[in-house]
Amino acid sequence: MTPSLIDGLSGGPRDVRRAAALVASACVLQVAESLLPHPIPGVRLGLANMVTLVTLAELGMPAAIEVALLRTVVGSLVLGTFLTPGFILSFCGAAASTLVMWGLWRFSLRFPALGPSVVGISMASAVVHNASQLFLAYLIMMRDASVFYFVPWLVISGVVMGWLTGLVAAEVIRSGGGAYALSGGGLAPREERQAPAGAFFGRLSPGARMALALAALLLAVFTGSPRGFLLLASGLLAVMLATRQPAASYRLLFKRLRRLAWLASVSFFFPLFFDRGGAVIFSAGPLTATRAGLAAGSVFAMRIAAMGWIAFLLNLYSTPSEIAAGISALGRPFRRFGFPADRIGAVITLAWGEIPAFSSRAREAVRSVLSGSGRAGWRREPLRWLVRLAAAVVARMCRPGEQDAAGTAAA
Amino acid sequence: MEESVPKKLLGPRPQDYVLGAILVLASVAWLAAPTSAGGGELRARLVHDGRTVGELPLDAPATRSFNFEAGEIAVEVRPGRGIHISETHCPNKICMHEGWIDRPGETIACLPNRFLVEIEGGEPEYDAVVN
Repeated sequence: MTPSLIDGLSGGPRDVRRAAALVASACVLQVAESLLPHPIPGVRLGLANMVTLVTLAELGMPAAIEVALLRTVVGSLVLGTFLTPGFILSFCGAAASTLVMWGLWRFSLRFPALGPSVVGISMASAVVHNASQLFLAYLIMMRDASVFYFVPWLVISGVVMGWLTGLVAAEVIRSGGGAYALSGGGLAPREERQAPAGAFFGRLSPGARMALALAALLLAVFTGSPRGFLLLASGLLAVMLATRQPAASYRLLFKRLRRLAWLASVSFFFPLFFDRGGAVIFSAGPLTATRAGLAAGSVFAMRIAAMGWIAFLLNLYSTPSEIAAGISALGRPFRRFGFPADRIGAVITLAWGEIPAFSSRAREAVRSVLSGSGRAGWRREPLRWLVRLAAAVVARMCRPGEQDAAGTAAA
Repeated sequence: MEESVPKKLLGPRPQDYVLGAILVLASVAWLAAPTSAGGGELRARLVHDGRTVGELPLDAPATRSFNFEAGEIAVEVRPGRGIHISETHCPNKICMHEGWIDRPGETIACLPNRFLVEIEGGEPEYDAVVN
């Protein structure tokens, strides 16, 4: 961490470091959650949302929205999914759910007798998170009303998961181990290029690379014909061939696209079977596929694959710190409207650097809490025991050592 | 700073249960509602001499037969294909040759019988107009 990176930014270096640490811990939770099995698409615990809620309650809205949005960016850098369809959904879901969280929180503070508690707010924001993701999937990828079959399931899962994470958030705030506990110095950002950028992309500035990727994404969103996708795909392939990518890159691309398979297959099969009209291709029992449905489904699936491919290339040709630089470069023109472009770049870079430290700290926290608390409570009150355990892990993750905790208390 | 968070906002309150119950009940209602499925159900309205003589949903197999001016006439619904005139005894059987219809606004008419089959419901499909 160089002092020049964070000095002179809005809020001052301490504030930037605190934001980076919160982003890093939210990110570790998000990544840990993505490693857990989630058999039903769209049903997630939403552990990272909890950090947003704690931040909102203790530091206010600007800090909360910063943590909510930047953790999706940093999390996607860790998973290599920046700008993929999944990232776009989670980014907008985080924005919408944080806005609702904020509105309800203001309401509860103004009318303490009437408003929902932290638990209710967490539940409402989880529901909004799910619903807004679905609506966005409808808007930019499928445009087929059949996706709304999912709404009730996502609402119910939001209620359950939001309630659970809300219990944990309330416990973290109550125990006083939330947003204030802060790490000391961060680690230096890792400079690891995943693949040689090649002469062409190496010469482009990070901002220009980001702008190219965004333009290609817009193209994918607005292309509606299979021929357009064929052109786009051959362009992307040409880029990979021209930069002499090794075979490993193609294998990695295949792996990344396979991750999008469930999203692509949902968007393929729903219109296929629910689009009425057009000539019938086959019908088996209640399922009937029509030609119009086949065409719509193929376009949606191709759109998702193309978006995934574009995002893969951006992640291939840029290191995470270059992506952070690209985001600040593209945001710089908006500075006059109060958009803190430089600060955002710094927070992303710092948080990215802190992630290895935070994940090992999280592992330690889990181990020490498990060994300290004893498992007797598990039999008597399993839910309360689990909530306490999770809260203790989160609190300890954010507060690494006694001296650091003392330092922040004094500050 | 922790003092600024009121104590009673730190655990489930009755409001939360009410909010959760409303959300869950609304989802269950959404699941149970039959017409919420992607843009409304399609029905075929059967009209004889300006009077509605029957309505058939297009998602369940069904047949209906009538006895009108020009003799017996039968319609058949097959999910996925739509509705067609399966049998008629009128002179040139134009209605039978119309084949299947399955989009809102489409009609089959049998003039000798003064009989009309018309598809209703769903969202209007403007693509169909171009076709």
